[in-house]
Amino acid sequence: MDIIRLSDDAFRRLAAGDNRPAVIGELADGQRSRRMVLLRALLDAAGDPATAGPLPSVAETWVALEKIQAAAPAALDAVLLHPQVGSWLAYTLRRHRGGASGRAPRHIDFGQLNTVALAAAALTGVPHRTVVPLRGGRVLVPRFGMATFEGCQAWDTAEAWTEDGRLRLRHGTATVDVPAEGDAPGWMALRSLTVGEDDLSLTVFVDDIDPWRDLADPVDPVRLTEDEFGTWAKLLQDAWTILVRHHRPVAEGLAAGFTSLAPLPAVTGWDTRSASTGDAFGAIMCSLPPDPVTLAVSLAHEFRHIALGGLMHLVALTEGPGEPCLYAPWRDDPRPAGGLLQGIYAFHGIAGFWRDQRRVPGNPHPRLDDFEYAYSRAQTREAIAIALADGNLTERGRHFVRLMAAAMDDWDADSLDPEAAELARLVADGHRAGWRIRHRHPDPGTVKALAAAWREQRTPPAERAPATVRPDPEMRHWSGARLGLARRRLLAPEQYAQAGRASWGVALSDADLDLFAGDAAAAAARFAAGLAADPRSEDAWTGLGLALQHAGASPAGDMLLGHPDLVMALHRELGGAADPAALAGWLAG
Amino acid sequence: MVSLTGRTLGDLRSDDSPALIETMQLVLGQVQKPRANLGGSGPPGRAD
Repeated sequence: MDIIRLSDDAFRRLAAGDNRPAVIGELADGQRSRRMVLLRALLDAAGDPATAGPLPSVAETWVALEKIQAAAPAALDAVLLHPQVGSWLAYTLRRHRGGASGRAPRHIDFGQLNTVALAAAALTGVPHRTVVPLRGGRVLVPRFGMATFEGCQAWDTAEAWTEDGRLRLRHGTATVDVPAEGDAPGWMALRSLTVGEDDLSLTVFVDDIDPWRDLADPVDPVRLTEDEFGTWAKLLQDAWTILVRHHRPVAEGLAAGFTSLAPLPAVTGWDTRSASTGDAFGAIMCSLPPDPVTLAVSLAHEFRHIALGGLMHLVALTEGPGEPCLYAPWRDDPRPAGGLLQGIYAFHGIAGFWRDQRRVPGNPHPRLDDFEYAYSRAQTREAIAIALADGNLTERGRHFVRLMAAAMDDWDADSLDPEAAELARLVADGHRAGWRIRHRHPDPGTVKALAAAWREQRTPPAERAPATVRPDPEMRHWSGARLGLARRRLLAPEQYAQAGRASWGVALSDADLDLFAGDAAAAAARFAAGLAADPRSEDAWTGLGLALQHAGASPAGDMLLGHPDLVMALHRELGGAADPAALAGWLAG
Repeated sequence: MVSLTGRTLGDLRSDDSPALIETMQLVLGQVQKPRANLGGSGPPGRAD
């Protein structure tokens, strides 16, 4: 039996960010094999009597699937490769092996295989009859839609069959007659959208019903109204136009591999949320974005995750999952090696998107887009260095990351709006320092030794034990304010002074406004006053570092940004009496 | 991971080769924990 080997060409192209159809095709072949393997694992697991129930067994359905495959292999592949079938398979096996919880009897999980056979038969017109599981009276038929019956037990069953090319389901005396298109009594269709621009079109399911359209456990349907569906249709068309006209390679990849869009609920205070999972190759989850550019970059971002997920199924790029101890510049919490690598690949794509987007003729926000490019480029570069140093990469993983870095080599020559570039540096430096002060913990012995040296007016000992990273679960979302302030300065400078009143700006101080307006000296004075009032304020410590450094060459500023955790801990050890800037300067030697 | 290109479900049902078993263990390990990618494009300030 052959082992799947991704071609060297596909590996290099993926690393360089080329996710076009030839590369996606190789990943899709890998996904097909993987789904077949998961099916076989399901068959083996179904030997457990705990999975048995009042439904045709997996073994019986397997025989039916063999016949359907013999008659129409492409139809079976289409259902097998449906993203949410992957999620269902993964969830069922994970739960069976104790890695997930659920309330449904096992036969309800395993019996979902009967809907796969039903769907494949329906695609081809092959006659087929089965019994399918109902969850709360509902059953999802992949690629088709969801039937709902009233008056069911929590876990129940329905007969289902194909007849004259049509699907029918029955529970008790109620029959759902699935139409060729659209909804019907007891039936919600899985809707799809096709958008086009020039010679390139994209067709995706808009999945608001599949229980496995989320990230792990089954969820209820949340049906979009016709108006909401229409809003998505318009946004997707406009985003597609942007992608085809200005990011053609990204669009070509999406056309080949993006097959399902699952709308997410909005979250107050954030523009857009997006997500994907390696179990559902081809599916992107996204909340309604405010504009087509945000949707376009979200799709570009998530498709990077999909592509890398497909690669990582075939090639080990990290030595195991790793501990959550690494700095990822786009995250407020420490990340494990696998998560860092996914983020690097996604931000490599985001930076590439903004690199091209900022040059779009007639761009209404070129300086803001310069900022997005500068910031995401810096984030990606920094994370690449971290991954190569500490990221637990395999040899192939290191090769992959180096290829990604090489693809960015000529980006240094890009000219940028100077204020946008400076603001990007300020935000990046502030985020790094903010992460360090929240998640890094200096060695207590080192702190005590330094305190003794300070009290005795000696030079600080050079020998310092390394700090440890202990993720603080309370510190997972702390950094939005300064990022928002930088954007406000570029996008709406006339509203800059009111940034603190925005929902995202509540944590901003007057010192932050001074700093981002370029008045580093005033900012330093205000941050120092802030620390006198509250020496526990992480933002005041990092703000002081930023202000000192931006006011001119400053060893104290460098120390505050490089080791804010140590300076704060030492300040606390000294009873809060030392001047923060003086203490940082003393530590810097 | 083994390639099942060109192989049928019938082939798969009766295959207990070490290569397939090893691949199954690999894939079962991959799905044992859900692995989600969470993004937030356009965080604060962009839509103001």
